[in-house]
Amino acid sequence: MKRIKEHPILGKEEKRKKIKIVVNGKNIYAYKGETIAAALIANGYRDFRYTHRFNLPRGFFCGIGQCTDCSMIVNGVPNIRTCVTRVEEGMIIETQYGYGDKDGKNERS
Amino acid sequence: MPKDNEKNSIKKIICRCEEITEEEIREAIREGYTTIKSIKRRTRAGMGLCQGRTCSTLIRDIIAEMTGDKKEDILPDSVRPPLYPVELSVLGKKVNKE
Amino acid sequence: MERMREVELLVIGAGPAGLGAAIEASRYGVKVLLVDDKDKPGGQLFKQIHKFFGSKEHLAGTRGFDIGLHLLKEADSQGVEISLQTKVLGTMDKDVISLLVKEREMKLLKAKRIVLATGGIEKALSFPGWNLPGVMSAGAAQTLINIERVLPGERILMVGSGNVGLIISYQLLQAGADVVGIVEAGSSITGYLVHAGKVMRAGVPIYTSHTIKEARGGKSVEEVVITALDRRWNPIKGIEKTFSADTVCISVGLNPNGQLASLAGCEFKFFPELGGFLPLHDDNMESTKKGIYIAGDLSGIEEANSALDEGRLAGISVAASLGYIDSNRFAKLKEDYWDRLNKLRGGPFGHKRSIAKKKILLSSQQKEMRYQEIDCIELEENTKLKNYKSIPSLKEFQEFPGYPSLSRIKKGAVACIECIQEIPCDPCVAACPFKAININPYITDLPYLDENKCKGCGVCIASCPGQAIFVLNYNYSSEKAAISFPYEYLPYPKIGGKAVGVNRKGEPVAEVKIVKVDKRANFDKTAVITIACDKKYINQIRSIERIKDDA
Ligand SMILES: Cc1cc2nc3c(=O)[nH]c(=O)nc-3n(C[C@H](O)[C@H](O)[C@H](O)COP(=O)(O)OP(=O)(O)OC[C@H]3O[C@@H](n4cnc5c(N)ncnc54)[C@H](O)[C@@H]3O)c2cc1C
Ligand code: SF4
Ligand code: SF4
Ligand code: FES
Ligand code: FES
Repeated sequence: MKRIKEHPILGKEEKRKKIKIVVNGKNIYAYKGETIAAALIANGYRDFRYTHRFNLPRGFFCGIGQCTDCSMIVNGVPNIRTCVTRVEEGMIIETQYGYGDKDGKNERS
Repeated sequence: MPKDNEKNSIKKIICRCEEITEEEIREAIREGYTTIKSIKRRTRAGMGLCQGRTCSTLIRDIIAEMTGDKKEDILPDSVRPPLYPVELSVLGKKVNKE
Repeated sequence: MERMREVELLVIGAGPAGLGAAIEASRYGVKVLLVDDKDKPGGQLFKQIHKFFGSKEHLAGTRGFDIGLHLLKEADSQGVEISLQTKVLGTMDKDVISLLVKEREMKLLKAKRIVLATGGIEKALSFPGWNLPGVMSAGAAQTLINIERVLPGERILMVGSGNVGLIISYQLLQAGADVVGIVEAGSSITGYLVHAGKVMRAGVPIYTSHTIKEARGGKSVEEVVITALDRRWNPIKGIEKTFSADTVCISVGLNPNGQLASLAGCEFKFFPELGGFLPLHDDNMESTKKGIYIAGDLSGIEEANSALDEGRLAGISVAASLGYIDSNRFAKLKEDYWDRLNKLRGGPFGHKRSIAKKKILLSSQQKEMRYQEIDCIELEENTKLKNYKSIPSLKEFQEFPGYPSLSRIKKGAVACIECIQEIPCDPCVAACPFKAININPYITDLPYLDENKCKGCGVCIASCPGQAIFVLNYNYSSEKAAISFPYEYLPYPKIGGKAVGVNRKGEPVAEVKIVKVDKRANFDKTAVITIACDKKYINQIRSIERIKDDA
C-alpha cells in the first residue's frame, strides 16, 4: 500500500535505516524496527498464508499476536506471527501453506 | 476432520483458527451440544492457537440465538495456562528463579 | 538454591489503569513491579493520537500518547520498576506467577498483592468473507497507521459507529486513506456526536440500521456489500449497496480481557453494559480473590480517565492493606476517588455503566454503597440519551446553550459551541481566558456559552477534543462573514486561496476564501482555519473539503 510520509499530528517520517528482506525469493526494502507485517503491507503484500482446510488466503487481522492469521515461514521456521516480529537484515520470508511443515505441505497444490 | 479443498470464500467461518463454519456449529447445536465447551469438543471450534479468544463470543451468540438461553448463562470455557503459546525449547530450559 | 524473588506488588498491564496503580502504590512506599507484554508501556494510550475528552484534571484536551508519556514520567519519578515484553502466562502453583520475558526466558516470582489491569480485547464480528486479507480489527488498522505509519488500504469501510470506530475512521482520513462509509447496525450513532461530526464534515457517510453483508475478493478484499436492517436487525431484502473497497475495519466493541483473572480464580459476572463477562470487585477494587485487585477496562470497558482513577484507587488500597497508609487517611483518599469516578459516570452515556458498577459492588457484597452519593433518581430522569441517526438540523443546535443568539451573532465574532450531548468532557472551560464557557455542576453537563463575555478570540477552538467549537464573525467585511474551525489534515490550505466550504454533513455549500491558517504551538497541531464566505452561510459552513494531495 503506502507509507505515510507526512502526518498532520505525527509529523514527518523519521529517518530509519533501510534493510533488505527476501519475500518469496524477491528482495524488498523494509525499515529497521518495523514489523514484518508492516513491511509487507507497505510493499503491497496482503495474503500472508493459505489455510490448511480450505486453502484460503489470510493476512493481517488482529495486529497484536493473538489470531495467528498473519503467520508466515520466517528463516525456515513456520508459524511466525509477522505482526509482532520485527524485520532483520536478510530475513527470508515465505508464504505459508497449511501448517507450513516440512513434509511437503507447503507446496502449493 | 476431513480436509476438503472446496474453495468457497462465501462460506461463513466462525472459528478462524480451525476454519469451522457457521453451519457446522449450528449442526452441532442441533445435535444437542449447547455449551461452548461441548461445541469445542465436537467441532474443534475454539481449539485453535488463539484459544478461542476470537470465536468464543461468536459461538455464544449462535447458542443464544438457537437455544434461547440467556447470554449470561452461557459460560466461557475455562482458561488454562499458559495463556500464550510458549516454545518447547523455552519450557525445557531451567527456569530462572531470580 | 536461590530464593524466588518476591515483590510487594505486581501490576500486570501498563495502560492507564496499571500505571495509575503502580504510581499510587509506589508513592506510599510499596515496592512495585509493573509488567506488560508489549515493547512499549502505555497500553491503548500510545496508539491514540487524538486529543482526549475527559476532565482537565485528567489531562483531557491532551493527545493520548502525551498523556501516556506524562504517566510514564510520573511512574519513573516514583521509582516504579517496569519490565516490558513480559507476558504473564498464569499462575503456576498456588501463589507462584510465571512470566515469559522476550519469548525466551521463563521467570517465576511471588507477589504479596497483584493488580490486574489487562485492559480489553476487541470483539469479533463474522460475515462471509471476514477471513479475507484486508478485513482487520480497527485496532490493528490503528497500529498500522499510527505506529508503523503504513496505510492498511486506500478505501476503507468501518463497521461500527462507537467512539472507537469514529475515532479510528478519523485517524484513517488523517493518514490519507478514504473511508467509504461507516455502517452501524443500530438505528443511531452509538459514539459521541462530536466524534461523528468530525468524520461527517469530512464527507464520510454513516449508514445507521445497516450492516456488512459480505466482503468479496480473490486474494484480498476488492468489494464490500452492505445491507439495510429492520428494527429487529434482520436484513431487508433488496436494500443493498456494493462499494469498491480494499479494507474493512471491525469495531464492534471490546470485551474485558479476563483470562488472567479467570485463571486466578476471580468470580465473574455478565454485564453487557460494561462489555460482557468481568471479574467482580469491591469498593477498594479488590476482586473476590483476596489480595488480587483489578482496574481499568478489565473491570468494565469505559475510558482512560476512569481506568486511571480506578488504577490509582487500587494502588492506594494495596498500600493501605500493606500498612503504608493509615485508615483515616485511606478513607479520605478513597472518598475522593469515588467522587471523581461517580462524576465521570454521570450523564446519559455513563448512566448504564454507573448502574452496572453499582450492581458489581452489590454482588461483591459491599455494605457500604458508594453510589448513593450520586442521586440516582435524578439520573433516572435525565437518562434519556438523545440518539442521533445523523447530524441534527441547525434548528436543533440552536436550541442548546452553546449556540449564540442571532442578535449576538450580528454583533461580531462569537464562539459557537455545537456540543449537545452530556459527555464527560470540559477542556473548553479552562481554555477560555474570559470565562465565557461554563459546565456546571457536573462534568457531564452541557457547555453553556455566556455570549456577552465571549470576545470571539477563538482560543477555545483548538482545545476542544470534539472539534465542536467554531467562531462566527458576521462583520468580517461589508459583504463577507468569516468562520473559523479546527483542521487536522494535510496539506493545509493556502492563505488567499480558494476552497469548497462544506456544511456539517460534508456537503459542498459554496466557494470560500482562506483568510487565515493559525498553527500556533499551543494549539498542539490542531490548525485553526478562517474562511470568508457570503454572510448567509454563517450558520451552515463548518469546514472545507479536504485538499487532495497529489504529490
Ligand atoms: C480508538 C480508541 C480511542 C479512545 N479514545 C479515548 C478518549 O478520547 N478518551 C478516553 O478517556 N479514553 C479513550 N479510549 C479508551 C481508553 O484507551 C481505554 O479505556 C484505556 O486505555 C483502558 O486502560 P487500561 O489500562 O484498562 O487498559 P489498556 O490501555 O488496554 O492496557 C492494558 C495493557 O495490559 C497488557 N496485558 C494484557 N494482558 C497481559 C498479560 N497476560 N501479560 C502482560 N501484559 C498484559 C496489554 O498489552 C496492555 O498494554 C479510547 C480507546 C480506543 C481503542
Ligand atoms: S472565542 Fe474566546 S472568548 Fe469566546 S468562548 Fe472561545 S475562548 Fe472564550
Ligand atoms: S465543547 Fe467542551 S465539552 Fe464539548 S467536546 Fe468540546 S471541550 Fe468537550
Ligand atoms: S495479525 Fe493476529 S497474530 Fe498477527
Ligand atoms: S478463532 Fe476459534 S480458536 Fe481461534
